[in-house]
Amino acid sequence: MTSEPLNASRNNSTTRHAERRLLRRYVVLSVGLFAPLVLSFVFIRNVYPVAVWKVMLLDPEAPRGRTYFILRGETVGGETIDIPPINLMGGMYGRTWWMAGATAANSSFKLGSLHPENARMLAEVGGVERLPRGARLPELIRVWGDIYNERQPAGSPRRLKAMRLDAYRWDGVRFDDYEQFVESWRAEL
Amino acid sequence: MSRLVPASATALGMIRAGVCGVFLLTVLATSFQNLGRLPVTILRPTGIMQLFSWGFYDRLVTPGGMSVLKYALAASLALSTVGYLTRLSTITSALLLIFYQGLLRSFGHFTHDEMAGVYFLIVLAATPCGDGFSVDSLARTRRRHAEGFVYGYPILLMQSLLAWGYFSSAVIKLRVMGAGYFNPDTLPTLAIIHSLDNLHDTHFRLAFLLPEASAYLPVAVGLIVVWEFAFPLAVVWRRARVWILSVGVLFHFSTLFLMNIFFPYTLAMYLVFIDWESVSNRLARVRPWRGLREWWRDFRGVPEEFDGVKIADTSLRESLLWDGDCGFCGAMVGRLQRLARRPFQERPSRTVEEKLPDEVRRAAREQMHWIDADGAVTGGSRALVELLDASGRKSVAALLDSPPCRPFAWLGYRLVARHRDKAARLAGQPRSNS
Repeated sequence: MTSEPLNASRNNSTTRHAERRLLRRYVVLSVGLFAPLVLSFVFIRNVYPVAVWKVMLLDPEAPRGRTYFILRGETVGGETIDIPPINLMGGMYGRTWWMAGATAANSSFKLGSLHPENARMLAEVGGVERLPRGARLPELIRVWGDIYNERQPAGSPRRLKAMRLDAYRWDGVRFDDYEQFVESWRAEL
Repeated sequence: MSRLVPASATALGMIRAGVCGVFLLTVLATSFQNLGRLPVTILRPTGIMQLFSWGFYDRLVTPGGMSVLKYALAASLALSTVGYLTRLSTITSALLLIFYQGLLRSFGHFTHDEMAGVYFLIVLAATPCGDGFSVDSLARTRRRHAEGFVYGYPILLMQSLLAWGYFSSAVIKLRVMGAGYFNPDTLPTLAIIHSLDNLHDTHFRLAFLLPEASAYLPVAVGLIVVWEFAFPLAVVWRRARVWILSVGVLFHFSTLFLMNIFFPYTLAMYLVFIDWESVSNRLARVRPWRGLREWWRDFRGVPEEFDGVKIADTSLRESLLWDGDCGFCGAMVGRLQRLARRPFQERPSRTVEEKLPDEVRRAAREQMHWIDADGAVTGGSRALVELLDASGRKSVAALLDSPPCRPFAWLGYRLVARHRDKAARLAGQPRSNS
């Protein structure tokens, strides 16, 4: 039995070569991750998947105040109940409030490349300024309502006959009057 | 490097398991079918998500399409978590997760919570994170790289990415709002905005108490900004780490109760600051874990490769050495002879013991050994592969030695070798030749 110094030195050289290659990869990885993050930070702009951490901020140039939404269901038993959508669609955690706001503002009609259905709707009404607010909200509300009803036993008085999204506004100045009703969207189920 | 971060393959592997495991659990708990019912017409593809066509989104955002995405994500993340086919599975996990998170942000908005985790997956996909604490590493008796920079740097990079998030957040607050950020009304306004609706995930009402405490809030906000600025210290100063991370936990739970905003993924990603190998070593002192660890060390301890060892006696070359006292082993050698296209020499290892180096002799009762034409020695599943290759069964050998099969060949061999009695009973063979 013998040991092989030549083989050992060959192995060492291969390992060193592999480590040098990894070192180069680490440099590329670090620059590839941090360079876009720094650029995004400089321009304060999110370009997915590059994030700028502009969290817990109020835009000083934006008008104060906020429109907010309450999702409600009208049951076949005649009650009106609050239904938090997180219980219906956990996958949208942390984003539902924004999704409702963007849909109310018709944001999906203001893209460079429109969904063909949205383009068709725009052509029918004659432009985004003629579109009613929340043109796609009834579809979204109906999805929530359907999911809610699927979880109720057939014949339950808790089943919904309609789902509603009520919009309110807070002026963002006075810390007392929070509920100025603005408008409502409703979808029959 | 090791003064800043644990720089071993096991430490990096444990972090891989943790990061992928967090995403795996949440993917499994999420109803993708319900997500698939959202109207595609409200989608606003963000960033790279604009590269995909509307036709693609029409087909994807359906209950069936989203279920396919869920199964693909769950399978890939499960493989990455256990470290099986790690080089491939970490890449697919990173790509699929980037896509999935982009899709969620295209419906909602650019939440930052999961972003650190997404970047961690990118880091893991580009590093040898399967070299330790993985199914892939089961059959490997040697590390591919020396412990140190190769395994430590990815951990340092992940810590730095998390620190960047907090640090840049503090700078941006001051860039955008300046001294106005410390206005007594800023925090109550932010908190109340997020407490008015029922579309947030929680509905705590503590925000409405904040205006009464507005005199103290500039100080509280100032301390938070200082903490965010100081977060990079957690990377470079181990002593400060516990304090900075503890404040982080407190901060995120405060935002939950005061603002109905929670960053659970970001909190979970603090796991990159924990020395899991050291935690595991401490756990190993506790009774049930100690026994388990000793069993594992013993199970895994039989070497299959013997670096630098060569058998000088040429008469032993290209021969199989096996435990001559084991009837089951003899029967298996007989089967291998019948399977072989080219016959090979075989002999009980006891008969040539004096010609074997110590390390091979010690393992001779635990496994078979193959001595190749150059005198190099391999044992166990490695010996089986070499034997099949040398005896003309090259395709079977290549299959057993392929990355998907290698860990299972090793595990199968070890289990059978360790429980030869039971295996003999199952195969209807005698355990002993005597």
